[in-house]
Amino acid sequence: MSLIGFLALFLFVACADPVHDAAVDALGGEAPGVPPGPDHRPGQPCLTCHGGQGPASFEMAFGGTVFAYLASNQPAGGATIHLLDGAQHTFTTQTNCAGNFWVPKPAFEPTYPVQAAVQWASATEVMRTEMRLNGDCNSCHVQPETGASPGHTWILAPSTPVPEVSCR
Amino acid sequence: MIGRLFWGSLAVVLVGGTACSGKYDGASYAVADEPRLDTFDVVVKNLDYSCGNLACHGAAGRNLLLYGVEGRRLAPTDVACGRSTTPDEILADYRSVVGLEPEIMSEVVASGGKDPERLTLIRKMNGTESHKGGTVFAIGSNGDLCVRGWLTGSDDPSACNNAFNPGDPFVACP
Repeated sequence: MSLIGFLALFLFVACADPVHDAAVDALGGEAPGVPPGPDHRPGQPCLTCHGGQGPASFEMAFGGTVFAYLASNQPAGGATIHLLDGAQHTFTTQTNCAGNFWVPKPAFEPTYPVQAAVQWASATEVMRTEMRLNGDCNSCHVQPETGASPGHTWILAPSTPVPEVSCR
Repeated sequence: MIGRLFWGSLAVVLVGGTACSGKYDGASYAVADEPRLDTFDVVVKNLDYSCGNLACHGAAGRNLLLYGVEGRRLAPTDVACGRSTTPDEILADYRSVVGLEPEIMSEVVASGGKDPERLTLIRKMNGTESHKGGTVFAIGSNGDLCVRGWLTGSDDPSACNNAFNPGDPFVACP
């Protein structure tokens, strides 16, 4: 092997992150009929790809999905996400019609810990714990509800009707 | 050139081989002086809330692994954010905290909680040692006084009770 070949191999091995690559691979392909974009992959951990390590170039500080109920995948479109960081800075954003929301990295670089709440019409749900590591909401909010996950982010009690809220 | 390549490859093999060497087979250590278990319940409320969430010390694979309502659950039938932290979870958390550095923990407790900075737990939570979660309990804060007080064997739960009160209208923890 030439020196150049050896160095190329060394740099390739040194720069690869097999853990990140495996996490991206584990997400699988796009759902049929939903191209990459704001509506894609509801419920999946956004920052796996949008956290700065790629493969997506659009970097998020926060990203997640809000569903209407714990027991269904009906999205909560048009819900408002309130974020409050450790320096008492706030940021507000809304879910789109797929239930997805995100905060672009440059728009809000918080001082952790960060608290979060979701508001959808008259319903409000406050996250009982603080985010201390990152804003990848769906990395903890995984279906189903288990001892290692509170389930996906949901806002309505089972018998509560879905409010009429516009979304984009 | 070939010689450099040979020695470089040999170094890689040696480092790799050492990194993958076998399990610890030294003597086990029994903690002689344990911190109090009977007062740990008020301490653990703070640890669970501030340290034990699912992304941090409630995540699998952590050296300090915590269980409780604020994060990972111990019983397979419990769910995150479900019923209150159980006695079994308090005991598991106690073992996690004490077992992190048992020899040093024993020395700190034997000295009446003197120089608790000997413990990585204290340095990490104070942010005086690199910590991915940053400063969790600043020196002199109620959370800091809570943990330090527990190490002294104190009966006074006021710092712990005051620490677990975020006092922010944004938080509606039960």
